[in-house]
Amino acid sequence: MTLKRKFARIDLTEKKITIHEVPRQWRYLFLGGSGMSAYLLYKYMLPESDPFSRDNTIIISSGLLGGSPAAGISHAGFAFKSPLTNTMAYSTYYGPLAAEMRWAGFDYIMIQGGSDKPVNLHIQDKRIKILDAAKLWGMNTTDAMKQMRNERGTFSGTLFCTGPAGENRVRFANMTDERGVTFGGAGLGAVFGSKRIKSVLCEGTGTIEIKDPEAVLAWHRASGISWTRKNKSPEHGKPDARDAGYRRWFRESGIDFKTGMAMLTWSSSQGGRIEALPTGMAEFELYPSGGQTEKTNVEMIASRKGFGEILAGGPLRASERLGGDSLKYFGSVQRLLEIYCGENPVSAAVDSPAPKEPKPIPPFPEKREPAPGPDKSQGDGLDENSWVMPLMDPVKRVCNGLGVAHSDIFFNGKAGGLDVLKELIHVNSGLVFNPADLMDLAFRSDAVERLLDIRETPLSRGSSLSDFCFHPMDGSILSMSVLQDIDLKKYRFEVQNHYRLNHWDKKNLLKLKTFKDLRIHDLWPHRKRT
Amino acid sequence: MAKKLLMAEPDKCTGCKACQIVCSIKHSGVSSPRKSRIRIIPLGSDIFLPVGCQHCEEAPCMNVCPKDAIYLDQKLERVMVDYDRCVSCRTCAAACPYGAILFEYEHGKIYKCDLCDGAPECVRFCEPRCLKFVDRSMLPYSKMRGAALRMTVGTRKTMPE
Repeated sequence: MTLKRKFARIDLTEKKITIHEVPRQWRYLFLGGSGMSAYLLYKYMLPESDPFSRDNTIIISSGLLGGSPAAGISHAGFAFKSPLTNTMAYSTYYGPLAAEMRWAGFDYIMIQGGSDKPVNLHIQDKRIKILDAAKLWGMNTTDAMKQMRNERGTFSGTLFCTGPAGENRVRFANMTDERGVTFGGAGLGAVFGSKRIKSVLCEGTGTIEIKDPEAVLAWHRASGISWTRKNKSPEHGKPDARDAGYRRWFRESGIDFKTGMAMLTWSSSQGGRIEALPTGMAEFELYPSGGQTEKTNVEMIASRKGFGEILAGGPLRASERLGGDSLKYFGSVQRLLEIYCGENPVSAAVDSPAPKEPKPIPPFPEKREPAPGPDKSQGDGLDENSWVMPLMDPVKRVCNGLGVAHSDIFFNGKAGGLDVLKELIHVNSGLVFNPADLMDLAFRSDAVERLLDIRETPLSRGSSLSDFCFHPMDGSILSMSVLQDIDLKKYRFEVQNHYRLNHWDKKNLLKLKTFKDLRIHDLWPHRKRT
Repeated sequence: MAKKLLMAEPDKCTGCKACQIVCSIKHSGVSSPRKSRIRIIPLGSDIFLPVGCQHCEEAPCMNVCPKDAIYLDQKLERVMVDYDRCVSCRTCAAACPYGAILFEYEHGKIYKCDLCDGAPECVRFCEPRCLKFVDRSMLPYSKMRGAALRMTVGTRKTMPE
């Protein structure tokens, strides 16, 4: 497939759009995915930006397999600084957007700045327009998208928008598309809302050239490639019967369902605290009892009215208002970790359910030389003696770079290793990698994401994960140990120690030599605000 | 040989457009939504309908062609275009009730689904298994099975095949 795709920079403050060729170098350094997005955020987003400020940046990436025969499992990626976690979030969105972007001629779209007035972005065949959205501002997602389609008179392209929750900067506001698919629960909707972007419509009718079309199809047939994406999931395909009611209200409001539901359930346990809060909260029904009550609760969060104003900040910030030990009534530490770590790739080092001890993190090597021995690039195996051991399984990382989920892709019934993936890459794009190159690429992607998190979370003592379990402002330990038999003090110490002992902490990583070794020395000037 | 039909189950379609992609790659050598013989028509909300040539038995396109360029291939029972006779008048495109005959302005030719000589690529690459190439006798099978399951097991969902 042709790699001649563009990188568009949209500056909403200046109302300026510039379009550049995607440097071939990027493909070899990262392929795509969250590693590439982290690189772009590191380079183009001001350090320590407030997520709701105009300095925050959104990167939309199509993935290398967008528009290829792997369209059924390919996804587009959205990278941004999350208002919920204050670190980079990377949200995957399954559907035709990846193909539509590539047909329109774009592989990456970067949105910077912010608009004074509500706008819609329209991406169509090598052009991007910023259109007025004043009439749609304040509408729920369903009504807004319906009106847009009625005005356009066509259903072509991929359309997604934010709802009242995003407009009001609820920290776990997400985006919704016309299929009812939601994505970006780490606050993507809120970031779009803070930039006054109501919706994005991407229509591509262009052509992606392929060097040897028959070879591409034949390879896909012969490889036995198959995928298992569950198309009936409300998140990733067609809504099922459960969508009636609950999810529809959340979706139309623009609130991430999982986080919002957890918050509503938690709020029902906060009875005494509610009574102590200022008047005006009484109308909020504390215990969801069905029907109109739950809808009211959802609307209150979206509009930040009454108790919704407290919940709109997410669990950690809400607990500040309610009292530090209120979090011990939260559903589970596991759920908290999912909320705060679900879209942070670095958190892949710690699986959910919450472990009692941190998963071993491989050392960041001083010298990167291949270790002798058999090829360790197959399947999911990680060799502790290997010279390059990314935080994320290298196969998963390469799939992430391609814009597919590792868990969805099988070759003749088995999970593919790097040797198969290099063929998949070559037959679809012409790029040549050997397994060692892909390991190197995987490592670099992990490293640049870690560097970005170190830069963006100044309170971190070397572990962005451990900070999610603690007070985000002064670092005090939250009393959650009653929920699980996790000793949080010990957990935090061990995670920090792990990063430090294995040289993944700020002191060891933030060196010019490291940047040069990773071939990202152009990022060195961006390591701090000047 | 029993006639096989290309059928779609719209409730399974997720709108991913993989079918459009592989169809355009197969027939035109590029990935392009405009060059696909099958189109995904979004009907609003979460409903998508794959639309292509139905290979009608009494094909209107065949009836209106002034040059008898459209004929029925007896072997696969598919409606085909003889490009040696076709003059690109597009009367067939106007007559088709499904809009399944398209015109490529680049080369000045009409194009439509040809069932990929009996092995439709769109079926092979349809991940949600919305598209199927089945014997005509089996056409209502999945609906029958779904109804049977509802009557016995009481589920609204069809079991995986």
